[in-house]
Amino acid sequence: MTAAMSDAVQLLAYRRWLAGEADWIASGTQATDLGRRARRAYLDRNQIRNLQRVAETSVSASDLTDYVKTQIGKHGQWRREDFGPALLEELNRLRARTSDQTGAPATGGSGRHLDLCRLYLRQMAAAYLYFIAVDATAARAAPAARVERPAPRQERAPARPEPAERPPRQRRERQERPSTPLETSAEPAAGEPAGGVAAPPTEHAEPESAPVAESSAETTVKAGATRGGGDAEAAIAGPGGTPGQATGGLRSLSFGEGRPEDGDTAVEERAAPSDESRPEEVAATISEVMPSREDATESPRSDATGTAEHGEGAADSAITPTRESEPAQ
Amino acid sequence: MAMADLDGRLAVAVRREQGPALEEVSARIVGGLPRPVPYALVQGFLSAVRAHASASQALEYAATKRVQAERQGQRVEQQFWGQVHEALTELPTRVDAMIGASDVALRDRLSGILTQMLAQHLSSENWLRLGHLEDANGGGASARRGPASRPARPPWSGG
Repeated sequence: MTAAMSDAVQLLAYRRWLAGEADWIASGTQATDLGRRARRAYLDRNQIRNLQRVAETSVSASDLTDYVKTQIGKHGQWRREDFGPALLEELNRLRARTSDQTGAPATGGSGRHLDLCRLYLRQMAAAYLYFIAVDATAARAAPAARVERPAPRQERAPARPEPAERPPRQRRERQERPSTPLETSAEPAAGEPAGGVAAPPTEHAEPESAPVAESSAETTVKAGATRGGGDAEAAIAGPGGTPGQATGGLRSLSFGEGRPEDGDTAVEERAAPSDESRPEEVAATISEVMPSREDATESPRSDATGTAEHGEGAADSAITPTRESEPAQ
Repeated sequence: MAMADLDGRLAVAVRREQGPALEEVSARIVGGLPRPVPYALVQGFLSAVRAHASASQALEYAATKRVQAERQGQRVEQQFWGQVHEALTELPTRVDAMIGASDVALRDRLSGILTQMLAQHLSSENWLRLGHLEDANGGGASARRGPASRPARPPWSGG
């Protein structure tokens, strides 16, 4: 057997011995516990990475212990949970094990100690990263539980009269109504699709839908008042309710008399904060626009059709966002 | 190239062989003090030794610092520099134990490496004692500045 082969055999035996020691470190030492302690001490992962870098690149184990001592003194996290002193003690214990091993291959004692320290730190870093991942998963699960909480809040919501008392079909009708006056009373503006999104007039003529039409007119007046006079006039001229009804709704909006019920309350409250919904301005706008319907097809109407062009989306855009963004009380 | 390779191998061998012994020496020096010295004191010594890796320079540095501490009445610092000076004077004995006395250049080289190692061990031991002292004083021993002064955050918080 040549000298090179002898060296190779020795190296192979040494690596086999190291593999056995790695198993012992994983099961018979506190490496995993130290990884958990490092996580509990909120040690940054860069610090663990730097510790591993020092261990892999240094030529003697005393350099590694020097690094640990310096970190213990400089950073308070290394002293939490008694992490740093325990790590130092474990590294020194590995040196004692290296000197006690009789079956170890004949290599340098300091080199063996350094290799054991590297194995130990690899195990500890793996445990540290594992516990970080476990805690991060738990932290991510916690907000999900918080998101599921709004369900009971919606059960408490019937205290508010608007959403629960009316069936969803009626609410949809209310949202579609604002577009109908524009389609039936006047020609579509330039660029507007001819089909539109209007509901058939016969449906509005039904007596049972009249109250809904009234409230929809109110809704349209209030929503239009926030944008300008064109919407208000279009709602007044609508077939679902007479101008008088719409004006009544407008009065109730303007002066707070005969406060409308149910969902109108919520809509009114949302329309109120706008500066353009002041009663004087709305009344002036209506008086200007009222004399002829044809005037309504001019520029204010084009604005109105521009918004009504989207059908129920226009009403939704005026109502829904505030409804969703309103905090549940 | 061959000389640099030889230097590297020499440094590795010396660090592996003499590291634990010098670690014990430095632990004995710092552990014998009533309190740790300011870290800047040891850091200055380490920087000087790294810049001029020779035992004679380190001996002069330690003697000068000892005189300064004596003049200013700093008893702990005076004791520290006195023990460092004593340990530095013992280094040639270690070098003689490692190699023969014939090669003067190699002796100087080894002395420089051992001096650096001693300064490094002294610094880390002093840092360790400073940390323990800070814990004993409730975190008020040394004021932290910058990121180290902020409280720790969980690693998964994204910072």
